[in-house]
Amino acid sequence: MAESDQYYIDQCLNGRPDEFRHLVRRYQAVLSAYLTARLNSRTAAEEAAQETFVRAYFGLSELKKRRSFYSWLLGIAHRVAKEQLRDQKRLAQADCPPKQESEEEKVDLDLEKAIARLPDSYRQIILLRFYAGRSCSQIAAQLDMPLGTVTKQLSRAYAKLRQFLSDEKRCKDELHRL
Amino acid sequence: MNCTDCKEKLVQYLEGLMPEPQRQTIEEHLKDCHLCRAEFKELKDLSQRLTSDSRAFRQTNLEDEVFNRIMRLQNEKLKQADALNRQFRIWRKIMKSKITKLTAAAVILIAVLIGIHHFGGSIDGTSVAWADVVKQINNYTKYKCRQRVVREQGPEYPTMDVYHLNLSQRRQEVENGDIHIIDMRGKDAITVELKPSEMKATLTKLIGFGPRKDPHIIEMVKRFEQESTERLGTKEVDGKILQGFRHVPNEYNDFTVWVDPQTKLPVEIELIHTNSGQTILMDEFEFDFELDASAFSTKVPDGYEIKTIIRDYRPVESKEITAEDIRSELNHTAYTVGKLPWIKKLVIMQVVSPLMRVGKVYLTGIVSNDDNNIIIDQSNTHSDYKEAMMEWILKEQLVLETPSGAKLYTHPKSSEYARIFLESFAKANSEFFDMKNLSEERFTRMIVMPDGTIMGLSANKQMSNEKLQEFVESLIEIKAD
Repeated sequence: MAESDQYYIDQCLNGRPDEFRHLVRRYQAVLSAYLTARLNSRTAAEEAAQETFVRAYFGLSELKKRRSFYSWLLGIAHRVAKEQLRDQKRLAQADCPPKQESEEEKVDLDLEKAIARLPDSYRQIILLRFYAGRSCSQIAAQLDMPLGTVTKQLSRAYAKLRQFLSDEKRCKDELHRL
Repeated sequence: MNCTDCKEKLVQYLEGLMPEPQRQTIEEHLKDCHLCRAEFKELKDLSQRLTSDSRAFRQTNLEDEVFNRIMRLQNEKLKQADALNRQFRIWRKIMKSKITKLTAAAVILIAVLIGIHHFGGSIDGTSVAWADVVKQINNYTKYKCRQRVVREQGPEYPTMDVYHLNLSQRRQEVENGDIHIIDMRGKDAITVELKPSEMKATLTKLIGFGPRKDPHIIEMVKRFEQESTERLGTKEVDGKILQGFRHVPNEYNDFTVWVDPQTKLPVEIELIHTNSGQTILMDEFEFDFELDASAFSTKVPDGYEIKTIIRDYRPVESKEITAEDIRSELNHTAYTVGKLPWIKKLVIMQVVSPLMRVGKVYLTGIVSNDDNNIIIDQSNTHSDYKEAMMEWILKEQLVLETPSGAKLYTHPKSSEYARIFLESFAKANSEFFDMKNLSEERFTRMIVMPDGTIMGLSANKQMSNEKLQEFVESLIEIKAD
């Protein structure tokens, strides 16, 4: 059975830094998906995800609540994305052409953007459930909440996602009509 | 089963978490109700869309690249640490520390940091060798040394040469060219920070701070008790054999002194402040240095642009004050808490700064309807040390940015600070808070308002980000009537 985040963090801080690999493995897809939505680019997202993990690694000793590693990590990702967007803006101002996305990088951007718009608590659960491939019971254990709360939150997250996606679709349809 | 019940349970059903009898009920309802069937189909489609999108990401493999980066950075940090202190044994701590430079203003604080903890006891003179060292040090009233501070967290202090003329006067020559003169002989202590490169000077008058003697390290070393001083043997530095002594560490200090057996004077001193996670290294000692008296003068040389800061260190009485009082006392924007439905009680107090034990702090205490005690602290210190404090607060520790641009950071000593502020309020106003109700959930956040004003926010119990945001957004500037 996979160990908890806390276990791997303790291992890292007790002089076994290689154990951090487990945490990278666990959350790399989650971060990539979240950051793709924020940065609009899969390549930029992977770069930002790497940066997020590196910062997390060097900041582990400052993490007070080790159980909250996941939300802390998302917080770092959020800030890394913000910094990258700022840099992009600066580059754009300096007249550098924006990087073009290649075909293979195409993912369901509408969906990821909708996820990025979710309130933190819903987003955490959607990312864990699908992008980290965790079951509802595993999520309940990790976030220390009853299973019923997880399914309820998931249910509300679905509703929000559907709303965001249909808003997005309506906007696009209207644009087409113009 | 009606449609509302069914819709509520669809996710549970989709996730396969539904026990058998209920499962059948749902399935029967879905067969009969086209609306719920459509709803279920939408949920299933969305779930599939999420699964299929996640597949693209599950192939991501960042492991090796992340580890290459970590190794690279770690090596760089090790190299830096190694260059800084080859013989230094806490390089691991440096790796953890955020290397940031501190503005000159906060450097003056070093005096306080060094001087906090005294040794008790006296010298009994049983160990000849150590007694010789003490006797020799006693022959000198002034000395110069190079001082470096390594800290586990927070900003790094710059290396500096410190010239101690006596226990109340010193001159610090910082590696970046800045010069600090500290004179604590009078009732009002004076510090002068000169930036020759910019021809700028900051003159700080600390009213009621002096006269004060700086209990500096040499003084503390002199007070080592013989029986608690352990001999460490010898080591060779630059071709010279040095004799080591170590004082049995207590909860505050762990001293190691390396002495030149020929001169019987210290060559290196290492002081670890065990509970605050910092180490002070002193070397390149010169006893009886030759420096003109003007080198210790607090008169700012001609041509400098002078900024004057007045800090009042006279005793402060705790008393209830008004928002208007805060506004008139602060040298920057003062804030008060707006009307929020969950605020049960609001009290404003003036107290002595619980952190520095001198100077005033203005506390706004709030009792919420869920019996949380929330304190906002404002003071002029925050403004004087604004930049320095921002270096203290690591960028990684940003937890919240409100729509209006106020930022909330975690505090490196969150829980400890919350206790200190709650205790201070409890002492000043026992009705507001009773220390018996101190909670393990307590925390401190630093608020940086859009205009740069810094305030502390401490609470006894956890608050959700939504509530914190609502609270910070309600802060309004206190304006003159």
